[in-house]
Parts: sequence; C-alpha cells; structure tokens
Amino acid sequence: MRDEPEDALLGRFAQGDQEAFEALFRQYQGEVFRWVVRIVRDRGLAEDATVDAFWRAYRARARFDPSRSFGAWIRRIATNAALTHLEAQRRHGGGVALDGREPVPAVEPGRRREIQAAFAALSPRLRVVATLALVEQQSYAEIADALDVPVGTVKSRVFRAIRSLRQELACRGIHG
Amino acid sequence: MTDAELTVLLRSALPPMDESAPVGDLWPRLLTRAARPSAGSRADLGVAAGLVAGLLGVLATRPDWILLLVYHL
Repeated sequence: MRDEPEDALLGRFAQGDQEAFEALFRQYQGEVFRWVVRIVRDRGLAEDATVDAFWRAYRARARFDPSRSFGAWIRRIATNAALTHLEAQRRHGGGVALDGREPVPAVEPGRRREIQAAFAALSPRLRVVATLALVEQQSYAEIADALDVPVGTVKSRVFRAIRSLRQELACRGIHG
Repeated sequence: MTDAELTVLLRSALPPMDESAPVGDLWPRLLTRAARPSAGSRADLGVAAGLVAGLLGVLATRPDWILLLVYHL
C-alpha cells in the first residue's frame, strides 16, 4: 500500500483513482470478508459478496464523502451485498450454511437440522439481524450502523425474528 | 422458552463463524467482476430491445404511422 495519509487516499478514491481503490481494497478486504461471512455463513458466498460489495462501492464512489469513515461506509454496502446474496440463495432453494468456528457441541443431529431449518425459514432481512444479534452477539448499535437503520428498527426486527423462530421451532416440536 | 434459552439453542446449532481471512487475494476476482457487464445494463438492453421490437411490430401493422413518427423525430 502507498504510504500516504488516509484522507488523501480517500479523496483520490472518490475522484475515481483506480490505484487508490486498489489500495483501499487491499486494506479492507479482510475486514469486509470477516463481517460478511458472519452474515451469510458460507465462505464461498462471503467471497462473492465481498467482491460485489467493493464493486458497488467503486461504482458509488462519487457519493462517498472522504471526510467520513471508509470502513463504516463499505461495511454498510457489504451488509446490503450480503443480504442480496442471501435473497438469491433463498430463491435458489439454498439452506443455512454450517461453517462454524468450532465443532457443533453435543446437539443431536436431527434436532440440529430442525433448528437450522427453522432459522432458514426466516426472511433474509430477519436472518441478518438474527445472525448478527443472536449468533454473533454484535451490539444493536453496530448492527444498526451496518444496516443504516435506527437502533429501534434493529430491536423490532430481532423481536420479530425471535417470535418467528419460536413459532417455527414449536411447529417442529422443539420447545426448549 | 425464554429469549436467552432460544439464543443458546440457536448457537448450539449455528455456532459463530470462523473469523479468518479469505483463502486468497480477491483483487483478481474484482477485476473479472468489473469486466462483466452489470445486470443493470443487461436489463436496460433488454428493455430497449423490447421497445424497438414493439415499435417495429406496430409500424408493420400500421405503416401510415411511419410518417407520424418521422414528423416527431
């Protein structure tokens, strides 16, 4: 990466400088990937969404304010890209990917599949907040910032996700 | 089932994700993505092709409208 102040780099990016874009890409790709993979729960899909997010960012560069945080801006774009990929995955009948940090603890496989199916039944919009808030335990403020919505909206979506999950699980005979 | 119990249940079936980096550098994939026409431009071309086809269809059935069209162009 070029050794120059961040604001100069961001200014050049906003003006369409491809070298600046590449430098920002290399600086942020890991961070964006790690955020996206938490949402989509599939490394291959996360790579696609990361590339898509940066491509969207490049096309929207004229709307970027160089005085603001690039990290926060690209995270919002990446969250939307992840949501788009989840919606496409759902349209093509994909389920919930199972890549996890650690082996699944002692949960009976049939029960685990039922829980995953209940989770997959959530709409992508609710799945994103449920994943980030309940599974990844991100703060509501962080989720709100990534989705570019008020914290109240996140709370409301988490509430609806929990209600839907509880109903789905009850239908599958899981009550706790 | 309380919210806390539901969260524990969920995390038991969907453990938090591995936070490691992508397998390789994604920059070459971005260049490939950039070289591809966007879905938007394909859609625009589709709409334009549909409009032209529709117009030609109308003009084939009503040739007298050609003069009207030429007048407006």
